Amino acid sequence: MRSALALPRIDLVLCTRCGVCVSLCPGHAVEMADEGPHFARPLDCTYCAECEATCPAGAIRCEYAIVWAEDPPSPGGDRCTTS
Amino acid sequence: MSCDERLLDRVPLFAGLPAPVRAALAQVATERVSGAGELILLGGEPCEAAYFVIEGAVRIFRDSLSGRQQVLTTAVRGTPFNLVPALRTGGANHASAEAVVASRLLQISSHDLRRLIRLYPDLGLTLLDDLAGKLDHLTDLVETISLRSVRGRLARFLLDNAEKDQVPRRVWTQDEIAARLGTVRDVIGRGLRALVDAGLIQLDRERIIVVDREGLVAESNL
Repeated sequence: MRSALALPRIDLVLCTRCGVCVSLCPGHAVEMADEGPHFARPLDCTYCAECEATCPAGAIRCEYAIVWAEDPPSPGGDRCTTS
Repeated sequence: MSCDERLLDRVPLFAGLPAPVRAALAQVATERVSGAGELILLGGEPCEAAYFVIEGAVRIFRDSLSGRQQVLTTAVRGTPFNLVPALRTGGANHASAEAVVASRLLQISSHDLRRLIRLYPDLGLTLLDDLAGKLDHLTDLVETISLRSVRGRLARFLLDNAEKDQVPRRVWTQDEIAARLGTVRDVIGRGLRALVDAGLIQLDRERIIVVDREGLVAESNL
């Protein structure tokens, strides 16, 4: 699954399906499915990193590239949201 | 116990050494393969060997009693780790090492390394040069930690790690930045927001954008 919007990465191997990310997402962007959590409403994700901070399994990563202002947009902006 | 001498070409430290020294190193070096996430050595344990990364990446870190982890550095292709304790008789590993990705390493026992230094002064001088560079870096680091605020250190980190036109880009989580700066993610989160409020950076979802380089340089000196 690919999205035009950069989203936190969820490692479904590490994920224990505890649902903390679903409960605590301020934008209610995450839902639990059979295979694990996913961004059901990606536009509601503000990339606040609350899910990364609270995931007990360390299964969620909000990654940042550090760039100069004159750089072109990162090609990584269009990428998988789960792995 | 030996390795293909051509593997030494992947370690810049060994590149300029005379042929007899390289041949002697190849005689005592062994190749080791470590899977992603594999613990290679444990801090505090007796040091048995020095390592040189020939492929992959290795995270060098320390754990505190409170459970916090500080990443000291990431050794990438061509760089050594655990070299300092390997040069001492009865030294202990300074830090733990874990393969970030599947990695190939050259391993040289502490005993063999010190034996070859006695035989080949060129090897000793080469390693001294590397250690002098590390001492310079650590001196700078002590100054950074003791004299600069976390916000200043964060500003310096952003300046040092901002990349231009590199694909794929190195990406960082707030936890990883915190570990590099010897603090915790909440502090990094507040620091990033403060730099945004000051107009020095912008947060654009997956990018930290440095918009005021001079301002960030000034901040890094605080």
